[in-house]
Amino acid sequence: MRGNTYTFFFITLVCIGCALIVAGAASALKSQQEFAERIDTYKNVLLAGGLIERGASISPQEVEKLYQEGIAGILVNVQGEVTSKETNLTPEAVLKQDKVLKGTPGYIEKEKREYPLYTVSKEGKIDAFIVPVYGKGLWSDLFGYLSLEADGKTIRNLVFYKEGETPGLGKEITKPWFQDQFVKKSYLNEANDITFTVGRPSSTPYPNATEVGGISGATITGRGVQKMIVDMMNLYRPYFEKSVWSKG
Amino acid sequence: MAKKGNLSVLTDPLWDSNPVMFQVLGICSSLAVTTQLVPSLIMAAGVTFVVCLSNVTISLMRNYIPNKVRIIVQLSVVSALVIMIDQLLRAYLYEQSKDLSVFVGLIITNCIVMGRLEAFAMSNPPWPSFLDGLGNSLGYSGVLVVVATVREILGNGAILGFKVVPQAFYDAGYQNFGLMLLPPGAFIILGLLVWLQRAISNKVID
Repeated sequence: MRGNTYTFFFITLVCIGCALIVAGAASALKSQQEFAERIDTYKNVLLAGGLIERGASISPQEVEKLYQEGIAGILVNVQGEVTSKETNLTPEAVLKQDKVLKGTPGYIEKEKREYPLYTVSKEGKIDAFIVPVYGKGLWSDLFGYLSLEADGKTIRNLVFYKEGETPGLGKEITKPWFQDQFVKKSYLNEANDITFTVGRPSSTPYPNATEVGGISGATITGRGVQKMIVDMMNLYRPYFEKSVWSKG
Repeated sequence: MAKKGNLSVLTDPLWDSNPVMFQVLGICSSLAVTTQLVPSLIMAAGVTFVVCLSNVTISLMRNYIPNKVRIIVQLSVVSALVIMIDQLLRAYLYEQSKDLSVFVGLIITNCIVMGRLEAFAMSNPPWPSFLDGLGNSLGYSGVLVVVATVREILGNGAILGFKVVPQAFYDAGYQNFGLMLLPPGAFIILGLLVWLQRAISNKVID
């Protein structure tokens, strides 16, 4: 029969051993993980911008090359001014910035907040805008990219790259049939007011330019998508009004 | 436990004492990841890795583990292995890991892992333990692949993402069987499998 000292000694040894293995794996793989994460972001931006096809197999090197050639990021504020010619802000970072409560450290005044915006260039001209968007679904935060044609009004594409909705119901927002509905729609009505509706599920496309069909069994997720588009576009509206619409 | 040959240690769990169909273990993940074949294959590989390695590790340590704390020791070893899998997935299969990482974490609590450690590795040398782990995880993987194949074909009309149901069927009014993508679909298929296994295998007397 072994004593308690042995048990303590044994457990300590096991703990140290396991901790070393876990820590070793985590730090050895860190750079590869960051690379994979970056490529994933690039891929989703390219996908939203229509530079690559959905489901196309494409090597990380190609993704990086396409991104560096075609995509540029800027930062804009809620007054519509461009505050930086570069960005590495992800939608998650923007959400974090918006979640800081007033009066706590790290809080930034609404007027001073910066939001990332990506542009797709083709032959020296702006071909599309990509707005990183986030919103609330039923269970989870939804993160995606909404791309707009060069007029800044017509939707080119909507891609979700991270969500935690119910598979088969809310998760349908990541499916082509749902996302394809947004193509050529707009977030503006004739009076240039921001509006968008994710309506009732429908087997025929909605004729209205600011409405798409929802998902049966996932009304709340649909409403979340609707609110996401309206809220986010309200933040970016000043920029588009100042720099894009007036020139069109 | 009666002494068994190494071969039967490996082959028994494939069918006669299959961990999912016969022992009814690991049901949670069999339901959760089997909507499509790709995540099922990754999950199967993950479980195979964890079960084999943890069986060998615990078997090597079995004479030194104090009996009072054996479950905790088993859990720490399993957790370390599972975290390693999760880290590897995040580095090399990032897209899949976004969907799977919740379930990968849950391998720790997969009854098959702990079950094999307690039932086999604690009282057997490393080599048979490895075979036992391999046999059980392959038995588990087999079920996962069958369930996932049926669900993906019926639910999505595809296999590994390739359409297998011809467009003509859809034009004729065929629709994908949406229930298959939801947990009840997996339950039904799993139930049918258990029935099939028990009807064919003569091992069960009840």
